[in-house]
Amino acid sequence: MIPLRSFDLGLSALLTLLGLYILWQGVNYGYQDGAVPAAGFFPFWIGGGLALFSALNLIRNLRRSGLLGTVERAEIVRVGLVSLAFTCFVILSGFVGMIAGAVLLMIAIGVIFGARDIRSILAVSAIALGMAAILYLVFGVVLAIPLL
Amino acid sequence: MFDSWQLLADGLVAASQPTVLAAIMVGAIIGLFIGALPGLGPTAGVAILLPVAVSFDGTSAIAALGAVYYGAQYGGAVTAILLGIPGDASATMTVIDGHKLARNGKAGAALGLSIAASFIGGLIGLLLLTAFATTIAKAAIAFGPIEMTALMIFSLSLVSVLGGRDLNKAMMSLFLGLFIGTIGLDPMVGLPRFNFGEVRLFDGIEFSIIAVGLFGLAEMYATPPSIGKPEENNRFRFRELFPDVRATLQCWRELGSGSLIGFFIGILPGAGATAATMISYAFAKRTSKHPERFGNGALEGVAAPEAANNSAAYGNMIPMFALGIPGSGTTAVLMGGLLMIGLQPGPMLFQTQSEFVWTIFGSFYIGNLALVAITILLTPILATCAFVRPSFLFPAVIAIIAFGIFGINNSMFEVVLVIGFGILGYLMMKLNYPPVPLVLGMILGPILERGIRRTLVASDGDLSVFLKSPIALAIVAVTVILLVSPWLVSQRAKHRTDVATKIAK
Repeated sequence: MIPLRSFDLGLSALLTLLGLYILWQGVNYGYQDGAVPAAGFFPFWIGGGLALFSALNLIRNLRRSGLLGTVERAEIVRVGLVSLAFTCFVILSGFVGMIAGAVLLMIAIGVIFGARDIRSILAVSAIALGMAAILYLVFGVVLAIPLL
Repeated sequence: MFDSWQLLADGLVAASQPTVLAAIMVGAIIGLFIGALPGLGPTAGVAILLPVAVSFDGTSAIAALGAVYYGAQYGGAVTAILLGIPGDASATMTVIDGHKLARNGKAGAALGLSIAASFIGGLIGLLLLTAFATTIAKAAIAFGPIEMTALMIFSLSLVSVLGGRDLNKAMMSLFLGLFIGTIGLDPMVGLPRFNFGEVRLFDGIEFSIIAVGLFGLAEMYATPPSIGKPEENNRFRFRELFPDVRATLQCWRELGSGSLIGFFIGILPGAGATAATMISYAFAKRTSKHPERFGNGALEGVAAPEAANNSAAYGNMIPMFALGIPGSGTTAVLMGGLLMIGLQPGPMLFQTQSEFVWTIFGSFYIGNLALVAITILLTPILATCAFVRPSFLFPAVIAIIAFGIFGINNSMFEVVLVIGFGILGYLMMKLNYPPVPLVLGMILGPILERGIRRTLVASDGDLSVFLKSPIALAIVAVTVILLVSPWLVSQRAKHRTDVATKIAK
């Protein structure tokens, strides 16, 4: 089990910094052009608002512990693995094409979500092949999208 | 008013074209399955199909996405009644009496009633949508840039009702959305902002990338792999699944009250279909001659919430179509779809794209009617949906997401972005950050920025122009009330608790 509070602390700190960056960039883009707002006017206020509310959340989290409960390590690993599989699909598609890449992606996702025995893996593989054919027909043929 | 019905008749004819009809049917069937499948709600369903749908022509795209939305309201009830598993949150109230009825051998009566209630609720919602949308849009035609800017500020203030319990996190989500909306070229002077040297960000981030990441991927990430395992006692004979007309006729009062409550609750931003089902159920129980039957398999307990959730879906569309304000997560995604096909929802839409609007409304009527037959035919298949394991379902959905996102601009860069927004959406879900304010900020932010800057350019920087228009002033006043009221309510509650504690001591 991983405490969610640490994630919230990290996200709040990150968003506080992002808010300050947006605010600073807003000033760089120019806050006002004569009497009227310039390109940095809106980002200036957005950055300020994001930094303010994120800092408030950060302080609240630092003051009180145990606000959010916990999350299972397995769930975090699952999110990481799905994102990794997705990233591998993006890289692989450039070499083997999107259809072959999608078949591998679907099998990987199936395994990540619990298809671990041979029967389940075979079933996921069959679904992946069928789905790849449908995707090719819909996107490649009907919608005429130039697939990689 | 007469004009509306004439335009609707034309819309019905236009929506009967084969391409639009096909889009309605595909959307309705997909919606039914999305409603029945645990782990995917209507918002996720519309978001996932958004990049695919926008590849069709504009009318077919929105007709299909709309059909997914109201189709999901039908589908959610099937698994709620037969298996006691609500496909989405708005079907939760249907479980209480619907599943009891199914267990008592009245699955057909409950299912038939849910289909009839969905149809009647949908029809009443649609009739009211037809009557009200044009009236509200006509009233809003008087809105100039100042009033529209005030309206956008009001829309953003909806964060106080759409943002859930934690207003601070809702505001963080809103400002993050506003920031994402500023990525790309500045709308007035064309200066690139926050593109980090990446040319592919000059046009900003596509709305569907955010919607798919925050609603689609995030929901899948949070779904445990263990759902979808069948229970032995949830088995029904095919013959038991046919509707019972007499049972439907018995509940005419609950069908009427549920539809009306659902529609008017649906109009309120942030209230949504789930709240509508709860209120209509409570109303039906309170006004019933036999309230003791509720919770033990009362037909009325199925009729009221099912009529309400379908009616609420159409009530929800009024602020979106007539004012350009999305009142819920699903309508925010639908509004994103309208923007992606180059249409700006709001009062002018009824003037400049009248044919489009009425064709879409016509498609809703056709879809609502078609869903009665489709749901009856597909009930046995829908009943097995709750048993589909994520390991079989999610690979297909994730592949659709990858191809759909790639297909928007033929760019793998956008697939990478969707991975990032999926992780962000998951974190937001786990840490109780509401995603709807982010979507609201992203959609309305650029419109608000253009409005404010154009108004201030026209008034030479004079901010008091917002207070010189009576309409804008009234909208600003409502906005202030909306923002201050949650704080006042919490202070009052705190005061009452303090007094009670003092008395107890």
